[in-house]
Amino acid sequence: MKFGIGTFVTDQGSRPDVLGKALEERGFDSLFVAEHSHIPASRESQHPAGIELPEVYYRTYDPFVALTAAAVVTTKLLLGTGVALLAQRDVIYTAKEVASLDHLSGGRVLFGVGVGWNREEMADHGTDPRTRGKRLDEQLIAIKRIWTEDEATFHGDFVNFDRLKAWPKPVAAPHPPIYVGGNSPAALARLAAHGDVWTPTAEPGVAGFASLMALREEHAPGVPVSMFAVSTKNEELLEAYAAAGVQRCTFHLATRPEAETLGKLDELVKFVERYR
Amino acid sequence: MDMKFGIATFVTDEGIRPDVLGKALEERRFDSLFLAEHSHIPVSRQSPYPGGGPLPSKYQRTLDPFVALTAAAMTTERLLLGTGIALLIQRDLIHTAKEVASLDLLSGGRVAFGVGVGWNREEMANHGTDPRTRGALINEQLAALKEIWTTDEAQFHGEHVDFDPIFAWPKPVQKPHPPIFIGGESPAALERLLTYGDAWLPRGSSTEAELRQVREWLTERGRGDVPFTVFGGSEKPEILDGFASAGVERVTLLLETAPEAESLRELDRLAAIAARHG
Repeated sequence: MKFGIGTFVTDQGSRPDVLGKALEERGFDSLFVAEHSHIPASRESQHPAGIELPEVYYRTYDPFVALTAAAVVTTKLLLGTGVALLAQRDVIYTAKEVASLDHLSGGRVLFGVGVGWNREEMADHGTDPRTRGKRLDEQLIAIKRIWTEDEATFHGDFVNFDRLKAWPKPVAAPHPPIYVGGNSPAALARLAAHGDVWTPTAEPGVAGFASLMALREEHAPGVPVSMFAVSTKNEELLEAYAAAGVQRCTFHLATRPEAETLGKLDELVKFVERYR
Repeated sequence: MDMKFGIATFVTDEGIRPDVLGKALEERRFDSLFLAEHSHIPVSRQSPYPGGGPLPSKYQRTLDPFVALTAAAMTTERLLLGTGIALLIQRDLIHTAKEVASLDLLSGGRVAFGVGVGWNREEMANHGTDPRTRGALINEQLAALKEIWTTDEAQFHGEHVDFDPIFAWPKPVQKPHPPIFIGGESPAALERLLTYGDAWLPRGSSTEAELRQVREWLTERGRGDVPFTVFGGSEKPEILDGFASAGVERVTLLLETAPEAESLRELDRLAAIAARHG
């Protein structure tokens, strides 16, 4: 089982280049960065965990800028979005950002996507929260065409373009793996139709994990799993991941200044050593 | 003061990498790198290419400018990182605000944000932008960008840009915000420069007389101190001397997109031109 880190890279924490290098030195295989383009001051949407919104949500770097900084100072680290809010993004621009980063990093991008939860945030980008799942599905088909075809065309209800040329193409063939986030049946249907890897948010206990695996068997049997936002050092849970053939366990790393971040990573390394 | 020299280019997958390019520029004492962008090129296109003739392939192959400039930022310490120009009119404003601010923060305040209204109507239409109102749109976008960059709870209510109060950090390092370079020489572009711009980015085909005329026009309106950066300037000594005597702050020389070894040789040649005038 591989181990990665998922975090919010902000102006109050470790720089992404420093973080990327530190991860590679410690044998973590990947860095997944979260994104929120902004947070509307007036907000009805609740955080999925029902918590007060932590400050990191207001302060994330642009994920492709942050991952490019990490890419330049590393050679093996996989560079992931965890997750990119594609439904509120322009699909042509996002295709180019991913492809540019994949080109510069020699094919190290893992493109994690999700439908998001902050309805006011997506509305500010012109995305109707009610149809965002359908929009994301169309975007995933369209982005693969942009990445893989010399003249890409897509005509859907939400995404429309006719014969466009766009390079660079990604290095990874046929394209960077699409990681689908979310624990709902809708997310799993999306994974089965458009995704390469499932990246569900970790449930606290072994029973919760077992129900996730049952969901996968029902909707997307055999698709690789990369556990996301694992916040516990629950050894029983890690054993269960390893036994179930989970490809990667991504720990959530709290956003802290550099020295504190490096200390925390050292702790994590000692902990995961036995599972490698 | 001596005229500064930068490089303007298209960074693509067929040319020198941006991190290698940035370092090479700093080593050769160029002060800045300005990158062009096109998100894509529609195959069926009515808009004529302003350069005349068929569209060179580099137009459909540019790397995302903020990804490319971030790579250049990581291998340099002083190089200014410019867009030349970003097609703001077809971009999502909130995402672009964050990209610029993120790059400004990572680079320690080295961003020069060049913008223009573009010419490829089919390209902008694919992003949902109406070509006919794009000038009015960019004016509102520039006003709104400054709100996002400089206030804790930004809001903007215009005809083309409209959002209620939002929180968005990081804020740029440069205060009050990264300088906005306005591209174009039309009356609308000059009005935009007067109202929203910090620097002017006229194309290299502009003459010394035209530059002096604009300087006078700006002076009459109390903005005589606006710096000029000529974009893709001539290599001819007499023209460069003319720019220098007209008080141009910086000329960016156009680097053709080519593989690394060829690019480095060409940069040596361009650096020699810069050294004669710098």
